[in-house]
Amino acid sequence: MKTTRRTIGCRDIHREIEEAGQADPLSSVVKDHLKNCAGCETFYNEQFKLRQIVSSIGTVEAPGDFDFRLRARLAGEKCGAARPFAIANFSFGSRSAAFATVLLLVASTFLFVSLRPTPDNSLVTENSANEAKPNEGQPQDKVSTFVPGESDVKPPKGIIGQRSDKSIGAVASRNSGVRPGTRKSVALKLTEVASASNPRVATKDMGSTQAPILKPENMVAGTGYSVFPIQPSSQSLKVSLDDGRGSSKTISLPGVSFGSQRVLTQSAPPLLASARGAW
Amino acid sequence: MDTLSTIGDFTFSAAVRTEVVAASASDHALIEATRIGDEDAFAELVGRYRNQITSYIYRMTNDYDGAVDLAQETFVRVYRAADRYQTTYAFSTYIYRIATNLAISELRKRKRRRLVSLTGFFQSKDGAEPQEFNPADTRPLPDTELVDAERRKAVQCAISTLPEKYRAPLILRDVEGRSYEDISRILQTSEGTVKSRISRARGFLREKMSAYL
Repeated sequence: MKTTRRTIGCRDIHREIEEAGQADPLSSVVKDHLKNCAGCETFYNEQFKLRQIVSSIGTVEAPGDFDFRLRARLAGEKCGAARPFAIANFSFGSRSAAFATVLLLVASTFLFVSLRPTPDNSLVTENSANEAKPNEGQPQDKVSTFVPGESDVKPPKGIIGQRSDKSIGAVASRNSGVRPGTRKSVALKLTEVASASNPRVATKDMGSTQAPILKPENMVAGTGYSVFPIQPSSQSLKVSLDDGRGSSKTISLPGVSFGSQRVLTQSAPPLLASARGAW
Repeated sequence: MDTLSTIGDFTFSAAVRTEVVAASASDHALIEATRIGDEDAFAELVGRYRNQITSYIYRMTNDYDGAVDLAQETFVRVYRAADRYQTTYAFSTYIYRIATNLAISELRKRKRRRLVSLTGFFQSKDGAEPQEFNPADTRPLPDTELVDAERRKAVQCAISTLPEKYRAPLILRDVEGRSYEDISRILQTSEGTVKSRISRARGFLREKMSAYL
């Protein structure tokens, strides 16, 4: 019992010695205990000496140019703050991220511009001309040609581009063979409105109309040839051939130009007729 | 708060400063004056604390040049944050907290990029970071001044081997002589934790400095 009380007392004494400041006087209880306890006295002496040694290392002084360097630093920071968006103010990571972002924007802009579909102005113009004067300059007696706009055969249509809205509406209405107010006409009008809002867009709406159908009576007599409405300047034409028994085949016909086709007469023999678009 | 445009604008002339800023002005008054653009008041604050802060950081890092840089960074941060300064606690507590955070950050940076020396390094039991430590030469020296210099060097080396969580409270208590209450505010821990850490730190030092005790 006596030993336990002494141990607890030493712990308390140690704590008091540790917590006391170097200049603080020890309490009388501690002083009395130190006189009777050699262990606590040794602890006190070591502690006192250690704190003396540690405090003896003292303080070091700032260098003489401390103020000048601080002034320079603050002035430099002020100059840096005056141009907060200077690239030099960014860290390496921020600069890299900014550069990558700019690079990505440039690349995506380039891709967008290069992959954007361009309107085929020549096709639009020629089809407009055809639709306005469908049979102009076509010798009907020599070669039976496929004429867009005829009642039984519907021409390729839905070409909407840099034309006036009225002509677009008129052509669409005529070619589709539907009356205004039907669903097809509404779709065409929507397309028309869309193209009117963005005049650079040229679309070929084939979804709501019937493709032109070639019939045996359209064949050129005795030659086995037929005439397609291919203008020399047209790009290419896809023709779907149906044998009437359910099997069909799609042929892509590229535009052909012989260079001198503009001077050829319309009465050229059938073989030369291909030069002006007759096949 | 006005900012400095050139180095020349930030005059530290002692004569002018004495006229403008009363030497007896409290730290709070000086920081208030700094807030409204009185650069002489800030200069007075720098003059009051530059040695203390430099010394404290030096004891923490054991690198004088680095300590000077960090002390400057401390004052730059005080200047920048003068608008946000709150007078809840003493200014010394505030500036010591900034200095402590900077010193601990520096120690952690060093720890990450440290190259362990192949010559004998000293490591304590409680996970203290290894530091080069030259054991004290216990042979008697003819000159007392040399003995003191040797002892101070040994103490500084021994302190620098302490873990940072023990180092800061020990320096603040035994070197800077700050109260437990101040230390707990600077380190943002409880007083009990501070006392416990100081006790542990002294225990480590007692082992390392046994030759001098």
